Amino acid sequence: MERESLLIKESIKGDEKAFAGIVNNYKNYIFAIILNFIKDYGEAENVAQEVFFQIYTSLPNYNNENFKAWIGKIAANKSIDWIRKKKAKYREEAVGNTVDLIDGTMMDNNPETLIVQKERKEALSNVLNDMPEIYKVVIEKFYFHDKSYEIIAQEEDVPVKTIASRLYRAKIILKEKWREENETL
Amino acid sequence: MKHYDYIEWLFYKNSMLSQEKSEEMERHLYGCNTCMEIFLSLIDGKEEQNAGEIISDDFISNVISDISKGKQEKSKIKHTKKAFYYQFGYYAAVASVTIILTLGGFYVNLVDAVPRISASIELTENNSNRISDFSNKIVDSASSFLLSIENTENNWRENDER
Repeated sequence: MERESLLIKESIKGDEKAFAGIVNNYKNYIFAIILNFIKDYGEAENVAQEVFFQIYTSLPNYNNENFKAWIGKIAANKSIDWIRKKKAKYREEAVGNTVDLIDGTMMDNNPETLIVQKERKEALSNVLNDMPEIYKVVIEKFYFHDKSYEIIAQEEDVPVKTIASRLYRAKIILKEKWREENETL
Repeated sequence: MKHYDYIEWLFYKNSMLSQEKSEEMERHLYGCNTCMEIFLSLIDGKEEQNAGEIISDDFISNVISDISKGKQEKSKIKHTKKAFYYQFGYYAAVASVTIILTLGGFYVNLVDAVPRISASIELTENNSNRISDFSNKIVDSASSFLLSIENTENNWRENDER
C-alpha cells in the first residue's frame, strides 16, 4: 500500500515510470471489468488505454479513497459510455436491425473467451437448477419475470410473507453455492 | 432510488437477464456507488487472470505513449490559450480605459470642449489677420520709403540738368 501511495504521488508529479508501475499492477483488473461490457478484445484494449489515460489525468483529484474501487468505477463508467456511443452511432445510421448490429459489434471474435463465458453462465444456471424447487421458482419469477411478492404469492397460493422469506433464503443459498462453484471453475 | 442486489448483478454479469433489464441496470450503475461496489466485488481473481492472458505485450508502453502525446497536445492548447488570453487582455485593457474615461466624464468634457476649441481657432484666425495687416503695413511703409528715395534722386537729377 505504501508503494502504491508512492507511485500515485510520483505519477501526480508527472513521473511516467511511476504511472507505468500503476498500469502494470492494475491492467488485468481494469481489462477484466471492461470485458464484462465489451466483448471485442481490440475495442476492450482501446477502452482500457482510455481508462488509464483518464486515471492519469484525474489523479490530482484522487482523495485517498480506495484506489482499486476508484479506478474500477472509472473503468465501468468508461465502458458504459462506449456502449452508449456505439448504440447511438448505429441508431443514427439506422441500418437494418439495430439490435443485431449492436450485438455484432460487441461479440467477441475470440472463441476462447466465448467458451469461458459460456462455462460460467452454464455453471450459474446449474447452481440455480440444483436449488430446491421452492427457492428456484421464487428466484426465477422475481428476477427473470419481474413479478412482485404479491403476484408470486397469488400464483404459489401462499402468504406474501412466505414469499419474502423464501426469497431471502434463496438468495443466501444461491450466493453460497455460486461461491463454491466459482472456486472450482 | 431502487438498488439492485448481489444476485441481480450476478445474473447481469453472466448475461442471464433480458436486454431491456440489462440496459436499465447499466444506466443505474453509471451513477450509483452502492451498486458499483456490488458489481466490482463480483470481479474475481480468475477473471483478472484470464484478462491478463489477453492483453497485448505492448499495452503499458502504448498507455505511456498516449500520456506523452496527451501532454504535448495539452501544452499546444496552453499556447493557443495564452495567445487568446493575450489578445483578450489587450481588448479588456482598452475597454477598461474607455470605461474609466467615460465614468470620469472625459467624453462629456470633450463635448463641452469642442465649442471652446473652435472659438479659440477663430481667435487664432483673427490673430493671423493682425499679423498680415502688420506685414502689409511694413510692406507699404517700405515701398513709400523707396518711393521717397526715388523721388529725391529724381529731384537731384532735374537740378543737375538745369
